[in-house]
Amino acid sequence: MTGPRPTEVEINAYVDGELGPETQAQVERHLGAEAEDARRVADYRAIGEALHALYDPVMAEPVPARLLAATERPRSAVLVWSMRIAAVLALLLVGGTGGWLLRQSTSDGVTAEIALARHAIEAHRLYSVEVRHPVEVAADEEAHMTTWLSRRLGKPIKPPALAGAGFRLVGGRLLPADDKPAAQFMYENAGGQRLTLYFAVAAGGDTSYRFVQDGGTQALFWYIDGFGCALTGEFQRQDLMAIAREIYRQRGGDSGGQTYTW
Amino acid sequence: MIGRSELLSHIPALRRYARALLREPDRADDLVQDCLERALGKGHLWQPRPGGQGLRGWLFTIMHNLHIDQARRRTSMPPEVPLEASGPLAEPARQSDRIALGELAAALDRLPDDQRQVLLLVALEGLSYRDAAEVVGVPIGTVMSRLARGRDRLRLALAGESTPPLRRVK
Repeated sequence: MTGPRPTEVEINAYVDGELGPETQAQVERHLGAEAEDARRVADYRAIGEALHALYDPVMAEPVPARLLAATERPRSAVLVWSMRIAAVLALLLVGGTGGWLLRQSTSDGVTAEIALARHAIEAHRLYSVEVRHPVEVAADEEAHMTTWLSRRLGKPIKPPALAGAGFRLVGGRLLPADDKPAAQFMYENAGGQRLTLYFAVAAGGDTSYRFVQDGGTQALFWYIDGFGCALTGEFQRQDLMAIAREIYRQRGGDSGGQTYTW
Repeated sequence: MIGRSELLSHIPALRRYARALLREPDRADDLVQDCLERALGKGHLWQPRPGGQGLRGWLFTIMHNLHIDQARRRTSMPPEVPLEASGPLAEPARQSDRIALGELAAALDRLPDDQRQVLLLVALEGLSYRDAAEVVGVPIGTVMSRLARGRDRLRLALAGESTPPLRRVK
């Protein structure tokens, strides 16, 4: 009545649309006559649908930031060097035996800068995604936090007010930076995006602003008054720059540098 | 060189496959991340060519190989039970038309790894037998027999857990 009974493999291939038109038609005829095999096909299709019901929701989830970051190339921190290169060139112009020493100290400085930016970015990544415990001391204890962090860093330090830029203070925490303490202040805007301001005690003179990008995270960092500072977040450079200018303005506006020594 | 936007377009499917394979979301995304990093690290090795493996197939191949490596390393460690699979804590039984999804996930877990991979690649990711064979690195006939065995086992497991047909006959 019907042709030879299709094999198990053929039944699967039928379900998956992998048969040529002739065999497809043969199997179809067979299924019309054999209820048990027809049930099998229906079960296999139901399994496929159930797999989709089970796992398709994953596709609708927003892609985690770390996966987006993994598609960025290059993956390691990219420094925007134009300022630094200009400085190195200027030092090299000194020439002679001093040139080598200066270059060496410059490259040590570069290593320290990369370490600063890396610590700041790592701390940002670690804590800015925290929902329940983003900070150690919350903003409602700002005075206490300021005293505590200033004591631990050995220099007065205070979170700048960034409400003008749309950011409210969430709080702050103490962090290790190699063998020294560092501090992180966290801010949040109305959209829930977080920004961290990182301070590490650092020797050396002031520098201009520089950017580091790592994946979707940008850090703007600079040295001032014995601090290495980094402003980090998933923001455009110009936005970070505007906030950094605001921070600088607040520092400059403070009389005698008693509060904002950085 | 792989375009970023092209790479991004494959992430949802890679995540789905990884989640189905590993169940635990963090571990699944770890696998996807490893896969993306590996792909970009050797991005120059993939070239679109007629009759060759597409970018999607190539990404699945990388992920498959990473998964096999990791699974091999994990055999010496005690098995991790995915949180969602540990019984009553699992989400309330969702149901597709005929199959309790929790039961399906559990039955899938009990399949041998090689059968589960092929089944997911074909029935969930919609790969052709030929593409699945390339991803897994076996002949097409092996894909077909693994798939047939996997589906049959899954069907029996699901039938056994809901209404055992054998008992009904008696």
